[in-house]
Amino acid sequence: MIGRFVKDSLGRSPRRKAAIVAAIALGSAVATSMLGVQLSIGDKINRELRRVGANIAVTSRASSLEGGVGGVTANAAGAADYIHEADVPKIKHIFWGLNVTGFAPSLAARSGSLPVEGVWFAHSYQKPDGSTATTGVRDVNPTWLLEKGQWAQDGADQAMLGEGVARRTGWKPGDTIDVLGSKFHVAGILSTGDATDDRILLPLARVEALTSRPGLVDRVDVAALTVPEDTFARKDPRMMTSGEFERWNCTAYVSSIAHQIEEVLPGTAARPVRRVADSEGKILDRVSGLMMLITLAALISAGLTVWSLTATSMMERRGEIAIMQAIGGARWLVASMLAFEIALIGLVGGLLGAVLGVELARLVGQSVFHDAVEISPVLPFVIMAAAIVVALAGAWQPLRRTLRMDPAVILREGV
Amino acid sequence: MFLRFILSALRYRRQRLMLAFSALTVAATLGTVLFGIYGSVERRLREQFRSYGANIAAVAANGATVPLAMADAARRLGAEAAPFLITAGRVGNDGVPVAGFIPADTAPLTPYWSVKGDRNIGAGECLAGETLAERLKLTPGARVNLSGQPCTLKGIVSTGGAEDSELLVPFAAAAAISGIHDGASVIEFRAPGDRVEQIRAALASRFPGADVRTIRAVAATESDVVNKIRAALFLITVLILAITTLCVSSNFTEIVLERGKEIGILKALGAAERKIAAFFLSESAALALLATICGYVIGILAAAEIGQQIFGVAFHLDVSWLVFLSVGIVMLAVAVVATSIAASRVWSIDPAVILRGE
Repeated sequence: MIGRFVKDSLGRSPRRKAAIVAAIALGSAVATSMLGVQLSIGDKINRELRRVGANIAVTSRASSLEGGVGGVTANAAGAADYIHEADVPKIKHIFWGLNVTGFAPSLAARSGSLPVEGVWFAHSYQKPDGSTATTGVRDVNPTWLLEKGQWAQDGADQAMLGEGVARRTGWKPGDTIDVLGSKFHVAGILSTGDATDDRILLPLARVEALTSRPGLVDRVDVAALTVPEDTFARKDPRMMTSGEFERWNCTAYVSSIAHQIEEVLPGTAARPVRRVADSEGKILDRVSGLMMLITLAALISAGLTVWSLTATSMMERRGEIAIMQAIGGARWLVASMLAFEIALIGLVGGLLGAVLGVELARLVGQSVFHDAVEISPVLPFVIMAAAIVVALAGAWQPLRRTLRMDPAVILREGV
Repeated sequence: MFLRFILSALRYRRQRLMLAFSALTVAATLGTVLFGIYGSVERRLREQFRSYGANIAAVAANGATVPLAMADAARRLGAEAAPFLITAGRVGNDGVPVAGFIPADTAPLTPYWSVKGDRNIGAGECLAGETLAERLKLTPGARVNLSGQPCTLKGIVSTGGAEDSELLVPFAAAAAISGIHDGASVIEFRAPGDRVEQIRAALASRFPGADVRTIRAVAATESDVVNKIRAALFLITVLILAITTLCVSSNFTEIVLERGKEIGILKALGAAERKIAAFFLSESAALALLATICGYVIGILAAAEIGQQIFGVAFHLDVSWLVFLSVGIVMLAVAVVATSIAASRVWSIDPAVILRGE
């Protein structure tokens, strides 16, 4: 009986019903895509912010001190103790190893008056799972601009010049230059705006050999994805209870990641680069707050649309409801027939909307972040359920009022 | 007559109109808040990026120092500037790197310095970097026996950068130690995010002796992130406004359609089409206007609260009269279009058919 009623009702005014289904679909689509984007936008922005460079600097505890400001002038040049280059990939072995997006070991030296740094450009290393990956300065500093030429190779006698060095010496890509008593081929010129503008970058292995410090580096820059720090994150780990320490260690705070790096590389000091780490957290907080708000707006707007459409459609059908009651339909029967019909419309609309919304989220992800947006497989089902609930809620008030009224009054008044 | 029609229409269908009105008000509120957010999000985000510090740095190209006049020139261009003078000093038998800075100029450029103690030092006072303090066993309040310029330690600085291993002294003290006057080793600048290149180029052309650089890591990341968020917000705002418009227009359509009978009677009584249209249009317009005003007021309050929640103290989203105007115009346009379409649909039906009951 209910089935026949619904079939009849849907057949009677298909355009009306289609309009409601379309509106529900649109509302659910907006809700799905917003929730989908919202859940992954923090991660995306985190990766964007990672482009600013390393947020943890690892140096040997005994490294000597040299002056500078921020990232602008020279940094500590190794004097006594070093970090073993072979140990550096252990950084990926820490609890938050997957959050480490890149690391760049380096060894400083001087050739005459010119600061020289041995680095990994794009060096391969073995990950904990046995596979190989590449990392190095190119990975950690994606904003460095290759002004001329091309990137140097790690295995070759090639050099990259900072822009300042190139201007002062007049060297250009293709030249052969004399650095640390050996011949290097200039591969390219870099513009960075930081201390690297005044340096010559050489393959790490060559600098190690030429300065007789085989297998040693004096600094590692680490880029890691972190969560914004709160007051708890700033607590001194030595003062924590074991429960607190566990919670701290298992949260991807920049300080806990730095602490874990010190554990796998004994004798080193891993310090958060405050300029990067703090700003990042602040911006991430703001952006996720903003997205939360927009999502809320989208949900309200979607809910409102579905609600007001089902409410109006219920009101329009007062005459129909009155007739059903007048010919002896019990309240519960009339109500359940209509509720079933609305639930069905909500289901179809929600299903269409969920499919559409997943596509929409993908579109937003592609066009804005040039990257896929991951959507939880549960989300479409939640949205469908929500569409049904909101549609029923919208119908509830007008339906109840109509059912309570005397059908004769409604029928006399006309539809 | 005209007014009476509208007033009594409002009274008789209070329940129905309340539903439409509340839906429209929510829509107008959403519109106000969204326009407000979209209009101010770029500036607010760029403010957040200030915490990354400088986005331009000037170092000496050939000579040893950068002229201090450059800092003033940059301020006139709308950038903040902080000169630093790096030199070497001695504390007892230890050689230490010494950096001279001007506390008032440096503060806005280095909000990320985490200082135990007071960072606003005066003459005869200094700060020590964390690693340096550890090495020399310095604690706040201690007397630092810096050769030539002894000072009292006011605080310990931790940045994760070069400052950690330096002794930070007032600019004049560093100038006295180094013997360099009217010059700095480095001047850092913070230019408004969208004018970095312009200001860099202006400074570079006025001071050919200095090497003026864009700190790419900061400048490029800021423009990337701001552009992406703006683009995402644009797409999302358009989507939400589109669906809200749909909701609004369906409300207006329903209001007219459910009164088909009234239109039939008016028509049967011989009312002119134009007059009937005017009744309905002005009713819709009045509803739209009222909802816009209510939505605007609620929207302002909501935007202020939201701004505080997201961007912190003393902040409000800019909800100007321009926002009110845009929301109002969109609402009115939707009201007029939806009402006209619905009315013309009813109009094309013979009144006899409507009155008989479809």
